[in-house]
Amino acid sequence: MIPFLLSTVVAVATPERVAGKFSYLTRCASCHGTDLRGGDAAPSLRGVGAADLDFWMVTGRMPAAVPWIEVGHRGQQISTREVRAIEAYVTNLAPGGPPIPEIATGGNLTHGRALFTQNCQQCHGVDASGASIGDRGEWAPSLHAASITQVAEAVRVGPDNMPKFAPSQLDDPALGDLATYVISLDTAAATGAFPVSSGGPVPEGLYGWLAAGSLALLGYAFSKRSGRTTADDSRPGEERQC
Amino acid sequence: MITRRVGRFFDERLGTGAVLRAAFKKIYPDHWSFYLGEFALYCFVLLVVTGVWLTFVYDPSTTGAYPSVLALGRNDPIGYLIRQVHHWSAVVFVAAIIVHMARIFFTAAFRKPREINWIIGILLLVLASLTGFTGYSLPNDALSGTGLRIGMSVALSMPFIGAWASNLVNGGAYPGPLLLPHIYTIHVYFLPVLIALLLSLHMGMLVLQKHTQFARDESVVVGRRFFPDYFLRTIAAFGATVTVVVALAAVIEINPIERFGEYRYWLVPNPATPDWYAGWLDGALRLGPAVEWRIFGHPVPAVFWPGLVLPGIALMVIVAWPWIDARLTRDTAYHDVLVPPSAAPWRVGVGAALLTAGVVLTLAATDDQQALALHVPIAALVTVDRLAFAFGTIAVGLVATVFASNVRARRDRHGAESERVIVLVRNEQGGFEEKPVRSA
Repeated sequence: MIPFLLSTVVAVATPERVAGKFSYLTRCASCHGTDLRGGDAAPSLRGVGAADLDFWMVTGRMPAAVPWIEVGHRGQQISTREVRAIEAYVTNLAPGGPPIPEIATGGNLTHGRALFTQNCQQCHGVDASGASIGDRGEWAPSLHAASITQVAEAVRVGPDNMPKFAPSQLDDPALGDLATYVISLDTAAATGAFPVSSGGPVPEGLYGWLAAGSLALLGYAFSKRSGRTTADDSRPGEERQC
Repeated sequence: MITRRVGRFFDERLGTGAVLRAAFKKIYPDHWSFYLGEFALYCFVLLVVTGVWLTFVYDPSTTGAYPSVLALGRNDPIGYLIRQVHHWSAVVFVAAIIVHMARIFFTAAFRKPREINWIIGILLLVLASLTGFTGYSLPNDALSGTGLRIGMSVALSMPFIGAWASNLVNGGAYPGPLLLPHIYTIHVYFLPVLIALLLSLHMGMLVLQKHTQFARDESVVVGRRFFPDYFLRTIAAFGATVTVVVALAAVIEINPIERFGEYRYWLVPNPATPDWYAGWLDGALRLGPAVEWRIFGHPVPAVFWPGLVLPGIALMVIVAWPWIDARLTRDTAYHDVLVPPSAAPWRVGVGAALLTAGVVLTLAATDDQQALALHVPIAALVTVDRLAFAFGTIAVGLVATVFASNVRARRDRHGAESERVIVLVRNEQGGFEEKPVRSA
């Protein structure tokens, strides 16, 4: 009760925090608690930082309709104004954690690809469209719906099973290269043609079999009986349609 | 005019006229399913032509391989298309071989006197798969490098000779400096020459023994002359193959190695699946039990059983099939005439079961991608696939047998009513008499 009262006192400092407190209490507190310490259904939000809060809310994973069901990127569910208000409220109550990274597009794609193939594609797939990562049905989500800031936030924050990368491991310019490469995969014109085979040899094999099947149909088409059928004249015999 | 002159030039010096006349007059039976092998043949032609092109730009050194393939897309206006035609032809090549082989199997074309050609065909399938696998490894990208790593582990699992064989190929421990150069030589010189050699034998034997046919009479070959009828048709088959494969290559990207990245032995891309024709081997590895036995004190790794023993047994059964079939049918006579698949329902059953086993193992190689799409645990999929491999194959085989025997029963009923064929032969007195016809 005392932290709740305290937070009420602090929250009246600015109008945004008033709005933030209201939004937090109505949208988040039932699981994360009025004191941000979390509970059985949700983790603590103390000291997680703005990047973490932003990632979960802007990708639409939070606020969750059903707490224990994992949802993927489903688009922002609440207004940006409300997101900012909740972020301000929570970071003010419990400071710490990484801030929202400032990432611009236009990083070095070659360096980005090297970082991605070494650190990310093992779980997210070579074309970042998601992949299966465990025996019990765990999966890493597709990154195609994510914005460049969301990609950078995930790297800094490490949501769920994902490892987090501090600036000492991956500085901001490198993070920019990586996020630029990830975003480039959304729209990358394939070097070859349509990138239907980016899932690897599985769709390729299917198309190969389609091609073999269409060849068989073509063979059927041009073996249609027309023209003269002849019996082998090296043997005694007679002409007959076969 | 010119053709005539050239023809005469060679005829006067080499006597080619008589040979060509005989070749042009030769009769080839006609049926749509006889083109399936030709599609495979023409894929091979495409592979050789595009492959020669690629050897001009490819660098087989460990550091140069990946950049040299990437450079294809930048320095050469049609280099990337050539590479895609090459890869797509390989994918269609093996598919065409399998369909061709299924036709041979279900119509019993492998019977005496064509057992040798059946075995050559299976060797060609094995060589085509090996050529595909080695070619897929050449760009040294992370995906194919992982495949090569798995292949090396399976090779290592061979008792006694595994480590020796692996060191020989690698020029030391994996990944050795000689690995890519060795694979290059095997892919570019050794395997294609072997395929060309066996292919000549395959087709030479076809000419020698005459093509099988769907007919009621063993004594006469009914079909079309090589020239012009059959010649034009086979040109059409070539055109169809080139059209379909080049269209695939022009429209659909294959093997995007620039996204896989260069191979580093600590990198494993996800998802990692081999080209489709090696999928059944990967699937077998995924479904194989995690057991490591010791045999006479030697540890035998778990991959040995699904990776080498299972494919070995499968190949031996398929190679021996003409003799197994002859034993089961108690039929060791000469056959130039094909049977409809339903003529032997149990053969349909065996073929369907073998194909099902192949499909189940191939699908098992994609279990991680199924798990992602369906959001089910991989462990559950492995259990389902193991059950499908053990019992699904038998079930499909039984259903196919029953289906084929129903088809046969209906065909017999209708055949007795409507399909009585009478062959009339002119006798010495100038009259006609009925010739007895053996039913196929």
